[in-house]
Amino acid sequence: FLGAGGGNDIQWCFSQVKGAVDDDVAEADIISTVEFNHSGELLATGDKGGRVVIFQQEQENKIQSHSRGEYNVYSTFQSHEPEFDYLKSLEIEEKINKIRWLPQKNAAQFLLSTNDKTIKLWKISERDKRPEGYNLKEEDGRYRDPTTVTTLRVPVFRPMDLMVEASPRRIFANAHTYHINSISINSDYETYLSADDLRINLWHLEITDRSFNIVDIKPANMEELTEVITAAEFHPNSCNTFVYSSSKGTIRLCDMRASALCDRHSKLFEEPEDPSNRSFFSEIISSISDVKFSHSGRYMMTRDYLSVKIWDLNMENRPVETYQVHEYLRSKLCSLYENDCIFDKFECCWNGSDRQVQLCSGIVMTGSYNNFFRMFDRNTKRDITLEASRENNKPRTVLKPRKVCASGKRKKDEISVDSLDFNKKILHTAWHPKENIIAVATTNNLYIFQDKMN
Amino acid sequence: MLGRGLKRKLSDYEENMAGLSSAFDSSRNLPYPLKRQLVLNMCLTKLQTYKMLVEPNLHRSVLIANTVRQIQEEMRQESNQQPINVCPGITPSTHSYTGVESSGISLQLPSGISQQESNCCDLRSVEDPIENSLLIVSDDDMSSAISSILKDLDFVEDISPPTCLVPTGDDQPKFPESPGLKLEDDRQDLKGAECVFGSFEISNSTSYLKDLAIDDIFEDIDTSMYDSDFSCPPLMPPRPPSLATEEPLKTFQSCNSSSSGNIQICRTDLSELDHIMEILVGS
Repeated sequence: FLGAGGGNDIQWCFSQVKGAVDDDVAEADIISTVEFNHSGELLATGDKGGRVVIFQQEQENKIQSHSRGEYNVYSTFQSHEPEFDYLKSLEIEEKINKIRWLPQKNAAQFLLSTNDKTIKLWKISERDKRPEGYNLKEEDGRYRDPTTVTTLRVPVFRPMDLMVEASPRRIFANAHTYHINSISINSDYETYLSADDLRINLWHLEITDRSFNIVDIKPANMEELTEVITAAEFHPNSCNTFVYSSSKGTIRLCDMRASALCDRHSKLFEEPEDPSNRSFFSEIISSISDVKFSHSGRYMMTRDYLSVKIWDLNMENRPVETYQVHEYLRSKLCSLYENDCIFDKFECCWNGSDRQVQLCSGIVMTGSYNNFFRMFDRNTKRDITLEASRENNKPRTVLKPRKVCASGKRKKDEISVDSLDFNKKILHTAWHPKENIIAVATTNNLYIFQDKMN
Repeated sequence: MLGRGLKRKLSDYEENMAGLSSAFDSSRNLPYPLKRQLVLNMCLTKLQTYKMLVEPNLHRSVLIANTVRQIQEEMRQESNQQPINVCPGITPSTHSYTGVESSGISLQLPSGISQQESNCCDLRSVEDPIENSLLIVSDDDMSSAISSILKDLDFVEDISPPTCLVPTGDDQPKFPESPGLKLEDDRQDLKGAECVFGSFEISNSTSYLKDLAIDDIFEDIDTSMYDSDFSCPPLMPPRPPSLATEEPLKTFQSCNSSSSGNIQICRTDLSELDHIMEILVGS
């Protein structure tokens, strides 16, 4: 296991947990997305109620260097409201599907948040000074009688209590007939893509009244539909390249320079099926729920129901590595199909600073059931299972690795597959871009773990 | 559906399914055709449930439909390989089925063959509990189930065509060809107007239609327009891809916010209703 020995293994400790304590989960509080900003100072979460909560890391206390700064609430705002589409008589859910941060260009922070239909650009700015000493206005804003003004003065800025304001700067609407599952900001920081089940659109951040359709897989006859788009992402360095994954387990890499409508992929990544593992549910479990490029852009990671795969962009016919997240579920697929768990969409993420390690680099993290989450170290080939739970979690105590007993005699401290709680799923995780701090979302709580600093 | 065995309440059925799926997972002795039948039934049940939703999940529906198709194809291939027996009790040795299962399979053959099979032998052992609880579904039912699900999904019709930068062959907004699709489209638009056709039956009606309260205000709508015979304009004018948020919502907000607004919808879309009428009447 990671953390079992010395060396460079990370030892994860509980740091904080945010959210309601009680077991009765309010539907609106269900966390639907988690994302660090580019510096890692801010951590945003979106929930089913359409709210965005941003946490800010405290500045490191130089004296007490045993832990990194804590995350505290910085801003909370209602990003999306429930809507009613009158044309189709449909309710549009306010649930935030994805949040993506823009890199910081000035004092304000910007992020894109999206629900099923509408993407919004939010500006989050601080106000810690206000002007005082106007000539024509009183302090409360009322206008003074000009005849009472006998002297003139220059208004000055005086400090005030910090106020964090969020305001919607752009609303990108009416471009998606189907449900948006992904947004991805281009490396040019001027454009971004949004993907729904059948189409991908390209937007300019400044322009809200039009977008360009760059992928369209809708068949002329819907009865012929056999495949949908499940995720899409821009390449981190090549502003003309993006990938999208499908419900059939394929990933297509497209080059926008090739044509206006990228219906023909430049590369198709697909692993041939293992005939020994074939079942009625093979296609369903091959559906890719998340795709993420590595920081270098040389690799990409995909998550399907049972595994995480690492692909080399130069090799299309199979992944270079495959990690089993919870292979013990393979023999339970029918039950998981029956209770719909088989459709759960787990996300995955890379560790933060994998640019430090030049060769095959990185640790990848993804969630599982029973509030377990898994990490795979590509270098050491070791993996670990940890649990996000309020019990047994004391700050600065190293998390105990967990183990699921697939069959046979259950050892002490192991959990049998049948006692796993399938309602406790970790779908969303995020890794700080620069440090070993991770954010793990259970149904309605956000856990923050960090490595043990010596 | 070639149903047989006891009719069960939905809750019993669901409990049974949960029990069956864990039986599927845990038992290695469950014969393959039974497993397949179980999965098929689960798929069809799910599709049926989704059909009742106003907006079914497209991703899930496609995955389930593919699973059904895959099973369907497998069964079709088996039936093509299997020589037509006089009595399925004496099954060819290539298939290692017991007498009970083979009778189960015979019902799944295309209806022409199954008629022969079912006529000639006493097929099932009623005591087999698993067999009893499974609903045997014919090929045609499956195909029609998939088709209708996917057709219904297409009611989420695009209004916006691809932008002018995209030189595809198919530039036009996709006016649905078949009246079935068109019905779905218009049905969404004309929720208020629907009441006028109180007695007018549309097949495949989904639950949101049944839930419609028939308002009294529509009773006095002038229906003389339906009697006239004029050509109808295109379904929807092509719209630029992305309008500002407020614009379309404003248009339709006023329509729904008051009952007089509802009548607005009726009037503007009567010509489309007329078109539907023509198609359905077959003129």
